[in-house]
Amino acid sequence: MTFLINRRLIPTALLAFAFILTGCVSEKPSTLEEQAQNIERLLICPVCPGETIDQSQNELAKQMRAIVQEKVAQGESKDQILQFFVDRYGQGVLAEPSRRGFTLLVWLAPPVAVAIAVVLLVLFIRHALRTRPGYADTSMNEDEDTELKPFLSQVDREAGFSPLRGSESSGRRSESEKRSDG
Amino acid sequence: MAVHLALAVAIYSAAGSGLGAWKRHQPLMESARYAAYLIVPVLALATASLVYSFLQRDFQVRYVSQHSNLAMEPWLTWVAFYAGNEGSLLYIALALSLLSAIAIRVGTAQSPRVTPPASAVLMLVLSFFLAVIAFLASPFVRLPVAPPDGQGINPLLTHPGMFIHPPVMMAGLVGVTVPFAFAMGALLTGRTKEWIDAGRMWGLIVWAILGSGLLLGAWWAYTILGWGGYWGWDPIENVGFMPFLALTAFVHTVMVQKRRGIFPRWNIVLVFIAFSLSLLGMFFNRGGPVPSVHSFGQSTLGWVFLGFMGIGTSVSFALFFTLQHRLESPQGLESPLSREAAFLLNNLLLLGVAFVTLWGVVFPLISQIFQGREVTVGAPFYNQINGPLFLMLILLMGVGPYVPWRKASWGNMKRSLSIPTLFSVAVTLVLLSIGITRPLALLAFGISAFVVAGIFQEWLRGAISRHRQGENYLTGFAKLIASNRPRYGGYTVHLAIVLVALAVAGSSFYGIQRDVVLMPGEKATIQDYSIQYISTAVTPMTDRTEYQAMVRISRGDNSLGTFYPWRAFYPDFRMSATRAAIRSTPIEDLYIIPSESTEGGGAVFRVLINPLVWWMWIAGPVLILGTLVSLWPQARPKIIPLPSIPTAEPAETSPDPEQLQRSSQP
Amino acid sequence: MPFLAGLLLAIIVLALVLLPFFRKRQDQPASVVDTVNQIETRRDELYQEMRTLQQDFDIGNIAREDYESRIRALRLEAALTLREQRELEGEISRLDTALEKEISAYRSKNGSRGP
Repeated sequence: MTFLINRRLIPTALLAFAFILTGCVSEKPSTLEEQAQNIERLLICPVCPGETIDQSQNELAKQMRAIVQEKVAQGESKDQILQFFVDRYGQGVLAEPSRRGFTLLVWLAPPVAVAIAVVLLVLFIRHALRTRPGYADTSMNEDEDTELKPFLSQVDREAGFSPLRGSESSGRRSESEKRSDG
Repeated sequence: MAVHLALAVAIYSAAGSGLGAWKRHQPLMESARYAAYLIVPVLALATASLVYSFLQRDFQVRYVSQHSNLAMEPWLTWVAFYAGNEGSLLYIALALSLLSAIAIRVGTAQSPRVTPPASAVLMLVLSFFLAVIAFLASPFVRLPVAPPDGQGINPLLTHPGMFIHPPVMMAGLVGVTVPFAFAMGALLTGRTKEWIDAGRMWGLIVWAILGSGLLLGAWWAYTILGWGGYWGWDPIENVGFMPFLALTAFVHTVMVQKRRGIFPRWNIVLVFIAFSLSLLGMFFNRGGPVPSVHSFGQSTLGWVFLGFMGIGTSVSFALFFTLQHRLESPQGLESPLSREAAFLLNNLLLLGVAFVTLWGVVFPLISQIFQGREVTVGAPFYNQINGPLFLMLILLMGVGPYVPWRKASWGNMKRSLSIPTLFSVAVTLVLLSIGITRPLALLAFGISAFVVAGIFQEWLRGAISRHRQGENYLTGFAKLIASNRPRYGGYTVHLAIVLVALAVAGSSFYGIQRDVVLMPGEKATIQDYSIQYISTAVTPMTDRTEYQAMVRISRGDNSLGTFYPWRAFYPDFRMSATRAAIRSTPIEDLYIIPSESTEGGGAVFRVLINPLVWWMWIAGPVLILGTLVSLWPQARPKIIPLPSIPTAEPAETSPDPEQLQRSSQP
Repeated sequence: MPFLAGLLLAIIVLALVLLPFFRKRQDQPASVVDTVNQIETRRDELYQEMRTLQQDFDIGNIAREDYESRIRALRLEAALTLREQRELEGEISRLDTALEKEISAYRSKNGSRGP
């Protein structure tokens, strides 16, 4: 069971953590234009079905874009500009729900759900490991079972296979053997 | 009328298959099969008559008057046919009947015990759709008086992409019923072997259909919606995406069941989830509670579908819980580090994305109910949460094929993965040196390089190994693919996914956008492109005004040609349709959309540079190719001589077994 | 007019659907033959797996002991399927012989009266 924890979970967990961190990293845009565009992508056009003001060709969307560009040029921060529109149109104008208050739930639920799923997965794997019945690959020494001999030879013929003997080796296989020892 | 007939036949077929299977009554089952096949021509006739009404401009048929007009060109009839609720339902019924007929025909030969209950389920679902059409949403309703002209077709639908995207997408969504039906059949009969074969085949087919539909939708959005993007995490897009994700999970774990016989119950649950999600999709599509560019409009019909989804989900899961003990897993897992476990991780990530997507779609409703406040969950949410999950999935895609079945050893894996890792690091360093510094982009490109290297390494090793056996590289490679089609088809599909990832990474992180106002003759510069606006030709038509702009693009001293961004304004719909002028190369797309004309003769354009988007469209055919290879039936293996293994050591003294075998062959 | 067409369509469909009830009962495939086919399919799959395993080993994806133990297991399972198949085929031929005997006994009693 420690095998499970060590091998699989910790690297995966670390990777996951790293990914999530990078996901939260936001880049500083370089130009005013880019800044405005980024903000425009965060605002929904109030009269269009689900389009941001960046996407929509609607009259109101164009006006809103103009306002955003003006405010960016005046040096207002992203939060200030967003708040301006929220005051006028309500929370629904934000493309991305705020991370405060009730809508924090939106952001929390996915990581929590994934964490629960991981726990379930681990439990499932442990359960599956435990219920493994011993399967008969080495318990039967096929060479001694004379009854099966003719069937085994036929299988070898039909599959185009030569049965392995202990000392049998081939050039390539012994090479990989040497590698695996090193 | 034909629809009523079809409905009656479908109900009979469902009952017949069910009863026949239960009582093992051959003629009844056969009769039920014939009934199922016959529904196809009956519905085809109904379809033909509706198309005929369109072509005849019979505006007395309410549906025709709502979705066409005298100005509409005849070839748009195909699109008008499914433009509205009623017509699209008829199309869906036709698609389902066709898929069912094929499934039943093939299944009767391939999986004789599972198919009869499966066909009963298929016919039941079909009956539902037919009942809705017959009693609630018939496209054949007539108006009391024929209006002189119709309302015309929605301008957004006039793009060639609309000829294939909706039909493919709808066929895919309803097609999930087929693997679902077989899953039910498996549950009811306990025959897991037959179920696996049918389930895998249909799972893959429907998966490919859905995937193509999604890519086609992205292409349509990109070229006509005019904002330069291809996926907006719109609720309708999302509900089409979710069953695709569930099916992706399924086609992976079904391979585990095929090979080792384990996870039989989980596979059934996956298919049930996919089916419920596809029904959810249909609910949202038809007057669901969330507004979207895509929906057919608000209507009460949506709630009928919600009801059906509720019934379908509860019945299927109820049956599952009562009957699941019949499905036994003969073996368990041997090691947590094994391909089986990797597939489970794959499932977790895929379903994770599906959950996040569902959550984002549903949350506005929750907020409305509990807080009374309107909240929008838009693209930024999905991108931030799903992004990391996608990255992990792609990483897993690169590692997975190198995790052996049953039990893997780190040593072996480290050896196999060393080259792909080195390649990935090398690519990342190269990218850094040319100025790509955004960490997420580097991560995405690095991981993509890793996956691609892994795939090619496997192909190369295989080809080399066969070359050693005396085949030349080309035939060796072809035979390699043919020798294990599911695996190599799968690699091809993975390659397609990486291509999509590259396109998404390139355009998301390094896309540039600019709105410019140009007077005739004026030039705008974006990066190193220079765009000169020449003129706009205005063509008024009966239902719209078309504006075709002419621009000349050059880069440095090279002229790249003349392009014609196009826009049409439809006063009746108060909407514009656009066709972007796109100069597309594998490196980047230069994308120009005409926005409007200003007084004084200027023209407003939105210009975008979208890197790497070209690869997304290439991914489509690659995906289909990969699926076809996977599905290609493996011919019965002939007796193949044992590959002769070159000996670096002194020859063995015992007689060479291969030579003995070769001489004994006929 | 459309009503008549609809009625005609309904009649055709009804006829085709009821057809199987009036056909002569086809012989049920013997369930034993079914099982034999299943066993052969299973063995083909095992051969395929053996081939893939060999390929993987040649390429270098699997370690030697894993390869050896896996291939032994597959080989054994294939041989077992062969044995099972032989037994079933033996049973089929026994049934055939018994049937033959019954038919000739019947014929000798009642004289050959056509096919």
